Amino acid sequence: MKKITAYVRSERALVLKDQFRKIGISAISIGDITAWTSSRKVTLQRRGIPVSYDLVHRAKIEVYVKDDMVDLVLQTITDNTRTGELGDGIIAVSDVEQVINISTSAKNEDALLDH
Amino acid sequence: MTINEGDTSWMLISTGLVLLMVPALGFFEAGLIRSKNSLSSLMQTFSGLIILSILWFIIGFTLVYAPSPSGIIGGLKWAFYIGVPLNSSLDYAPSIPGVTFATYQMMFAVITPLLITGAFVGRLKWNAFFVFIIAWSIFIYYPLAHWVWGKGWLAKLGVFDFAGGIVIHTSAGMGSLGAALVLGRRKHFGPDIMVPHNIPLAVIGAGMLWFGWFGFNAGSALASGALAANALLTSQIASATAGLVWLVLSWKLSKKPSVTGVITGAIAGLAGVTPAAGFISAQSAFFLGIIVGFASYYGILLIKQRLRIDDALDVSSVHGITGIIGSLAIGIVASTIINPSGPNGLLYGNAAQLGIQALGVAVAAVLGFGGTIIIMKVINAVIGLRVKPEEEEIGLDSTQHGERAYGDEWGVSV
Repeated sequence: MKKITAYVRSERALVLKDQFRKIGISAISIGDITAWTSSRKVTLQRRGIPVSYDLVHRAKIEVYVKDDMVDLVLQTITDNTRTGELGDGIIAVSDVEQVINISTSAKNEDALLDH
Repeated sequence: MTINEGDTSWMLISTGLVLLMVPALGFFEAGLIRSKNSLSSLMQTFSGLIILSILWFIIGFTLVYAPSPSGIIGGLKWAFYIGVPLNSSLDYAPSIPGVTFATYQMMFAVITPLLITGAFVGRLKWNAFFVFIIAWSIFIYYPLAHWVWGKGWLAKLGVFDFAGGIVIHTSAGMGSLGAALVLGRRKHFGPDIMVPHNIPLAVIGAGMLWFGWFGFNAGSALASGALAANALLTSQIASATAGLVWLVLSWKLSKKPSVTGVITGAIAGLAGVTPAAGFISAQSAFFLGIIVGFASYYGILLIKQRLRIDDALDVSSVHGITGIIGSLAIGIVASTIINPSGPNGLLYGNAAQLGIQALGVAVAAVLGFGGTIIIMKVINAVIGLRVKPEEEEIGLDSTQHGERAYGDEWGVSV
């Protein structure tokens, strides 16, 4: 059991969601977050005057998967969110001790079915 | 004729009421779409208000209302409003100052092309929008308004349109259908991209539109008095019955009465009664509202769901189909008891009026639909219509305007 956390461009979340369905993932969570990196600035405008901001909106996607799904999920995320520009984000993979499905009480891999 | 102060007061207020419909339309649209495109719709309506006011002042009023021998397009004697009387009236509206008539009509010329913004949602470049509304005004609205309201050839044939069912709702509604076809669907067309981001904002917009519509329809009497009173009443009744039809139909189809449905139904009723408001009785308006309620609801099911044409906010149904029905209704239930200057319809012994109205509707539908397609294709060939695919996904607010509708608690972020 692994937890995959990806910080990606918000506008790609819809496409990613549909791709996850295609590879057999049954559930993910998507959070709307504000991110900061030291090197990144975006220029918008306020009352017609250019202003730079270093806080950016991103989507934080969390998905719990069986070990043998990890590579496929990582590939799916990068394939569908990479633009090649700075600001494409990162993905982290971590071990998970237990997963429990609240409605069925199923544990671990069984808990990932339709929760 | 002498200027009447009561009439002038009502027309000054009506001018303000119709003006208010422009930001109201923006709020209505912005609330019904995703937040990342909400500013772009507000920008199209608000910047449209500015651009089209100037265009009307310079060339629009004279092209629509100045006398023309041909009946095709008005002359140039009132270009830049030069010579439009301040201390006396024009014969279009004999009891109010000429400039008040001209500026009241300015608001109609402003809002008509902006109705089509409902079809543009989420994919049209702002510079293409800028060119479009100018071209659409010059090649579609100004001629059509001249033909029906400026003593042009359709008026001479006896076509009646009280407040703009033919000139405004049919032309803009069918224009929206054409615009949606040329633009093509938004990326990922489907429920995921049709999320209303702020329904309370849409309800505010709908409420302000309804309020403003009293100026639109009752103001089209061009004077205070019984005719304005009738137009206000018919507007209220048709809006209510169409809203009720939508409420019931949404309840039946989704098992729950819909908020976005009931506000859309009310707007559909107002659009439907617009051409007929000053020619028909409140009793006729009651049934007209019911008919346009059904027609607009099933129109959306047909155009958006079945044919999958991405007229994003369903202008073709809510304004187009309703405007057509309301304009034809004049040919059936109009009565000179209500308005001695208007026609009688089929039920009052004048069957020919229905055919005349149908001709007016057909001209507006063909010009609105075909003309819009030609204008859109020319703009597409010269400067392009659609934003880049990645800009469409990020949203028009930041990519087209460098601004976002909502900031975070701790500051603005992008």
